[in-house]
Amino acid sequence: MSRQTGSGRQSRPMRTLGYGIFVACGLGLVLIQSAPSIDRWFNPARTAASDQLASGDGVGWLPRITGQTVRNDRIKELEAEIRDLERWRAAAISMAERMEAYETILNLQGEPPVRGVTARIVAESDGPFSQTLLANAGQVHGVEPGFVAVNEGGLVGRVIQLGARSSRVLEVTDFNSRVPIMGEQSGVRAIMYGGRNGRGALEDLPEEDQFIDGERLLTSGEGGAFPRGIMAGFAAARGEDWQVDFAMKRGRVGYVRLIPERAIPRPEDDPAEALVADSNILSEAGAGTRRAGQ
Amino acid sequence: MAGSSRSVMRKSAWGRTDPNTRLLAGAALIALVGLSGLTPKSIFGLELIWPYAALWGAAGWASAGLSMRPMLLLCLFGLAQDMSFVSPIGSFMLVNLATYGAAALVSETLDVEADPIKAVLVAAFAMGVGFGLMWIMASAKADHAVSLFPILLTFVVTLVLFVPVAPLFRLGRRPGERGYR
Repeated sequence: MSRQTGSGRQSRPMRTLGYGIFVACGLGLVLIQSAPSIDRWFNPARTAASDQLASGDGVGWLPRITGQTVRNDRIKELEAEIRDLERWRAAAISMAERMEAYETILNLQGEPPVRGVTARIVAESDGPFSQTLLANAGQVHGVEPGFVAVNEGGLVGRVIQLGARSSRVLEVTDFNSRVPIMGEQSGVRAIMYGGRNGRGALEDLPEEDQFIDGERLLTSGEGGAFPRGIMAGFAAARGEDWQVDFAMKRGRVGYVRLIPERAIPRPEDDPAEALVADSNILSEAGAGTRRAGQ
Repeated sequence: MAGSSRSVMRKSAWGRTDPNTRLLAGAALIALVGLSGLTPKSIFGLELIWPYAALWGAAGWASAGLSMRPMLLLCLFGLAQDMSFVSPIGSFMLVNLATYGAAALVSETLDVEADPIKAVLVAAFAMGVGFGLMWIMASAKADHAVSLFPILLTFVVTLVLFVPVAPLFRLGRRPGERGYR
């Protein structure tokens, strides 16, 4: 049986007090972060932890002895090839859709060529707070905040936090993600976000037009956060509502390709020099005419 | 007396270890399971539900009553969980401490160490408190009621896996306290 010493009995209120202090500290930490400016203080710590987690790339001794490493390398090679082919397939779907638009609207400007980085998913967080992935490519690999993550299935998410060698991707399955999408056949547009049942939910739907059940949903490119034409999912009718079966779930989320967003700068942010010069001449000429008139 | 000395002699190596060693062993298991859970985990395309191993420690260690060292460890594990789950810092710390506090409170009235069924029931209650708090905080952060089903699944997996590993989290007495339980 336990021998409750005199000091043990005396220290019991101390332990209860200690418990209370720990709980108060936890509660204080949670509450203090409701201010976004204070929440930002914790970002460097999160980024440093992500970097550390992403750097573990070693191969164990057992796989080396059993030859599993060689087999794994071959599998990875073949998987990479499949990923490349899947990308081409996705590109073909996207191009067909785009070609149709080109034929309809003449003189349409083409999309710039895609550059990007392929990264391995080293950690994932599917907790109740957020659904994110940690990829082992960061700023030194050319990744920038806002890069879009895709896998062989389709759109995975968007880089929301960037470290030197890691980046955190907010998955499209998260409630806080917002992706402008359009039906490939119907052309109906909506905003997609992560629903509660593992499917995507849609908002800002038009009142009259409807999606076609099972049709592919592509990113519409509106807002410039996501490039146009990336597979986001498939439209699924659930009673009166429309939901999305995520395309990313048809591919394995072992690797993602991080590609830049294609934000189109506003004319006032990126003025053409010749036009600026022309407008200056025009305004001077206008002023001269006004002076002559007076 | 002779009987008791024989029973002491028959104790296994684990039975002879002191609470500090048991605490460290439990912490090592939590760290191992927690770190493994950070990697993508699926078998034949099926997503695995990973347990919140820190709650094993919270429910198990509490049977010896409130103690500073387990509380400190739970706070540290909570902070690590906050980093990996991208939750507000302190959230999992509170979840772990709530589970620990609830388990300690109930363990004081029931003789948990002697009855494994009671131990599991107490763990279920304490983990229920922890997961309930987690759901409330996640819903408050998201500004809507988050889905309960994944949390329930994780709760069940954590509890079911606690049954075989529970002896590893039995301290016998508080770390630093003298005598045997």
